[in-house]
Amino acid sequence: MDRTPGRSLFASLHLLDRQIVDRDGLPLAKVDDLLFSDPHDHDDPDDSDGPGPLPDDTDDPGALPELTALLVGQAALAARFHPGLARTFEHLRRTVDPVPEPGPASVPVTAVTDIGPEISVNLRAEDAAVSRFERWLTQHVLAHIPGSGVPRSGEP
Amino acid sequence: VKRLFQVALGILTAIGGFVDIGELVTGSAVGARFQMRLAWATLLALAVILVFASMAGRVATVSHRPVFDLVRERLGPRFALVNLVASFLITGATLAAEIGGAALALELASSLNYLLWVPLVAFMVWVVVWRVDFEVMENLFGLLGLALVVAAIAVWRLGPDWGDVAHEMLRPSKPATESWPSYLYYAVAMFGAGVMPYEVFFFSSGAVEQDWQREDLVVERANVMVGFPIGTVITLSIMLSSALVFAPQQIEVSALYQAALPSTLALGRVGLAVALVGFFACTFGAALETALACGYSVAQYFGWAWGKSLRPAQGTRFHLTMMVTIIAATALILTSVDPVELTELVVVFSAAALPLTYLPVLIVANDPEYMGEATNSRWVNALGFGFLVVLVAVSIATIPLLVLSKAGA
Repeated sequence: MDRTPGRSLFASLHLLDRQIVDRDGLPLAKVDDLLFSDPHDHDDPDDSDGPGPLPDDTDDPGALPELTALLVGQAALAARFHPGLARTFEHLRRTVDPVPEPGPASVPVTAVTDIGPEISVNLRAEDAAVSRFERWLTQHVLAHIPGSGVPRSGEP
Repeated sequence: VKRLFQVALGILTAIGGFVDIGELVTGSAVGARFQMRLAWATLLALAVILVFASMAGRVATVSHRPVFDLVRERLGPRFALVNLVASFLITGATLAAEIGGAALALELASSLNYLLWVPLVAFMVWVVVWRVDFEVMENLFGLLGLALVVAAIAVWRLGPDWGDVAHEMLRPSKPATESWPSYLYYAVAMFGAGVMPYEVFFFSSGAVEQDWQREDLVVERANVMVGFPIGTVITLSIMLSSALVFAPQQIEVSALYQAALPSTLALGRVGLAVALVGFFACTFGAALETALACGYSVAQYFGWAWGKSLRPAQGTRFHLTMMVTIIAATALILTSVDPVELTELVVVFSAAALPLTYLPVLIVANDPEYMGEATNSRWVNALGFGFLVVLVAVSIATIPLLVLSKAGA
């Protein structure tokens, strides 16, 4: 990521609704929403092994939330329109892909390699978790259409 | 020859974009009813599409961001969704009209009812978007569509009084027998038939598909500057030939076969055959463009992988969107809604929807973060903002004109 000192980004202008591309430049998803950590939330894995001295900055009342993930998919987008709509999409997503973790699909901010007119991540569309629905459609629908070049599910 | 193929994208976008069922129907009807007194609307459409397509093509070439990507980034997801729904419905209805038009061309050639041809045409459209290479597609249909130049030859053989033509074109006036609302309504229709939003979705996405880079900006400009003027000459020829054949008899044009009549009268059976090839190529080409434009716009809004250059499995949702759209459009045309009447409605709504996609392109074309050095020059901006005013005015006037003129009745 371009970490040139002094370059500040506006989340809503430079991140939200931008195209995410995979490491080969293929479109992966849109940044449908952003996930920030709560600086006052002490419930992170580091202090799960008992009480201990917390790092000073977490108790700093002026601590800022930090961007942790880019949320993608219709469920994340729908949440910006209407919470009920988001639940419907979330439900739909779960019927084809019973993922364990709750909430919409996400790309961790650590995967981001560049922020420009498009946001590059070091994932591959073919095996990224966020493209599971696309792969489900490929195997269950597209594979049945002649000429798709996809082996049908079950076949090698 | 290589150079000819380099401008194939522009020619395909123009033939089967600028010239499509909209021009064949509206151009013929307007020519018969107003002679060349509405030629200015087509020339205005040419000016707007030159600026609009060259900006969108330049943005796509430099930043690799096609139109609907920008629409969402610049207008936000809510407004962009309204925009997507409107554009998608108009483009889907256009797809239905183009499939109907291509089937009508086959009916004229075979005298089998067009409804029998509709499923075959729709299937062919799907096969081409599913499997055929992008460049093969644009070269084949771009070049076949050039058969429409027959309309210009027909005009020359029919021998108009060029003094009258020039007078009608340069000093346009409303015929005394027509009301202002219907004159202006047809002006909007003629304008909308020229500048349809899908042309720009297709052209800018095509630029990304062909992986144009900054050094290809010359090619991009040549595509715009060659393709659309050819389209305009063809459109004006259709209008003029129709004016020469139908206006003296006061015949109203309401069917596609009438658009082929001037070429037949001037050039006999050969003229008819060539005209029908051109009709089929431009409507079929436009069916491909509209089907792709539907897939492009939806995929770009949601951020899905899209493109004909990808294997179908890499762009599953893109391909499924197009497939569903083609099926829906086919179902619409199979209800035996008249393709000509559908076209007349679609061109008017196209004109009304233009500012929705024009504005984001205009904004981004001025953004150095996307464009680097290649932002709009001052005179392009002067034209660009001038046309924005025109587009907004057209958009506001469309519905009242539709009502006042009773859809041009």
